[in-house]
Amino acid sequence: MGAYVVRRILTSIPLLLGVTLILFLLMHLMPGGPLAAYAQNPHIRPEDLAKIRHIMGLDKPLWMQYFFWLGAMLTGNFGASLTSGQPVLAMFLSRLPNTLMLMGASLVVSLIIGVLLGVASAIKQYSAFDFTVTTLAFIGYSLPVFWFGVVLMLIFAADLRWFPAGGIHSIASHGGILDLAWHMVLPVTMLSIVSVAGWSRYMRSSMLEVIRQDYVRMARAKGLSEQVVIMKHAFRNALIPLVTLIALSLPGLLGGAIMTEQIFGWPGVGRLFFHALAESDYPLMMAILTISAVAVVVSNLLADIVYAALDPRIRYD
Amino acid sequence: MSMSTSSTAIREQAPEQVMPPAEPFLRMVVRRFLKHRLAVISLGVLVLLILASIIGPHFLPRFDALDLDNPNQAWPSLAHPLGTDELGEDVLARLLVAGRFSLFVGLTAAFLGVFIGTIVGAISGYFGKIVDTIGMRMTDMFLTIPLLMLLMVLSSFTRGKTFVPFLPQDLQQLPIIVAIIGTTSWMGVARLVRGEFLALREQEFVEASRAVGGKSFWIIVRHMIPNAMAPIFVAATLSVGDAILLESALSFLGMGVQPPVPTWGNMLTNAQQYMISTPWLAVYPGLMIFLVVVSINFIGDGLRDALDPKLKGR
Repeated sequence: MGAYVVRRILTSIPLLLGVTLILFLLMHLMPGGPLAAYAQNPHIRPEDLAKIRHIMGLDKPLWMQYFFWLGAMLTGNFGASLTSGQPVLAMFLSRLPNTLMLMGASLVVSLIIGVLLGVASAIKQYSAFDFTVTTLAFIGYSLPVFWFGVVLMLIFAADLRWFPAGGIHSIASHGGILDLAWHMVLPVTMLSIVSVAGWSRYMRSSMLEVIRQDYVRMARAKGLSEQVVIMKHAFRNALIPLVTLIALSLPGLLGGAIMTEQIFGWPGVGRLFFHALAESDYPLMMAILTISAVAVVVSNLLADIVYAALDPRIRYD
Repeated sequence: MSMSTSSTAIREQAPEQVMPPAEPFLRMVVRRFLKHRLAVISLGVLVLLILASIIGPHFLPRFDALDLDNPNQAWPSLAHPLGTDELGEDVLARLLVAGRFSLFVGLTAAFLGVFIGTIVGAISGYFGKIVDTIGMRMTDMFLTIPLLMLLMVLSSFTRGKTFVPFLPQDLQQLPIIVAIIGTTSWMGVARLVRGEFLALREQEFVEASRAVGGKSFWIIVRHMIPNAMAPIFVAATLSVGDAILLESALSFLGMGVQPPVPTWGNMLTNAQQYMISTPWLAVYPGLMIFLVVVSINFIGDGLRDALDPKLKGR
């Protein structure tokens, strides 16, 4: 187990390097290059530009630039924002809690609903209920999320006025938790809809797979009640593969968060990213992209380790 | 070449050895597909929508209400079944014209993605060893970068560039969007094709072809890809739906196809401004995207059942 963890960590290092290399090369597609902001300034002469280029190391070979960039990143230096002048990392960190809150709530809600639906439709395979869940999952999967968000807002915020149309706190409130929860209902619903569809499908097939196993037949043969067989023997084993899938769902959840934050005016990383794009704030944009990609690699790594710990049947050597 | 018949021969023998007169493969697929009721209905809906997008706008009065003195949205009427938008353009006509662009981008981007994915997966699976390791690690890397963010960055970097000289200025953005979606959504197909190839590589007809001196390229293109066609076809169908969703999401966020070229995504963005006065404008484009994508997903499901009965119920 210990050896497996070490090896798994070692194999994700090349993956991380590869991803940073792709992102580094992506930066070179940037229109005007990294000095575009200076080049537009009429007070800066071409000689000055060449000097800045030299100081910043932009006249060095590409591979050397990559290692400079990588080294700076490892020490937490992502550069300064072109619009605010603040360190990019600080801007990112100040928005992070809001996004984590949104994604976390959505993950919990969608997992609970999706897993329950999946288990129920697996137990009653081919029933009317199963058919309904399967069809609804297909529909959820095909929904344009942003449209779903707009329609939610249209019905529950603009028309019925049950929930606020956007933001994170009411101006009148003092940041109470109830006020926050009230603001979270619509964004979390929007962000969860596709995941619920996904989880219910995965859980259904994982459950069907497990129910066919010998140990479940054995549990039935021992005369255990159906409830104990399903909950203690089948369900817990069917949950294991979900660990990996939760990690794999992270990039999609991040994408969903961008759209959700944009529609509901949620002040998180997604909106910050959107602002960076709109203002051509390249350091900010690249920092958010890089940190997100690293987060995905790390969560995949964690998922694999947790998976190995949960399932003693699997041997890694 | 006599070798080329091996692919069809294998397919017809394997599952139906007990049933003496083997049914032609295509007829069997069609028969099985027709049993999937939702898939058949979906196919009908999709064909109808495509035809309407191509032919419809020719019969609809797109701009006859264009009245700049009074350019407000009109309620649905007999002349304009879905009403007119803030510029006095017939909403139904614009919706159908947008359909042309949305469907075009979705289809071509998905095709590009499947093409790249098949190449990467085939090379990885056929050559194995170090080539496979490089191919699959590359796939992992692309899967690691959050797709929507990557697309938004690529789109902002390529804005206003000209790649296809003979296209009008408005339409220059289309090949760019197709290229960025296609080059970032090939990973699923690559993994799938690699898996198929790993299994096919061990089969006798591949070995036989190699034994008579077949070149790698010939074996891959002539023998292995045709045998992996069924799952590729299903994946390709589903990826059209994904590509349409991606394009509409990008356009909705203002990072995809820009007006005046209409797509369902950017029509929805525009409609958001008039959500209080004319909320229905926000409903139509999303409904179109949803109809198309759900139809494609059901067709894909039907195709999977028809092409590979082993996978039924998954």
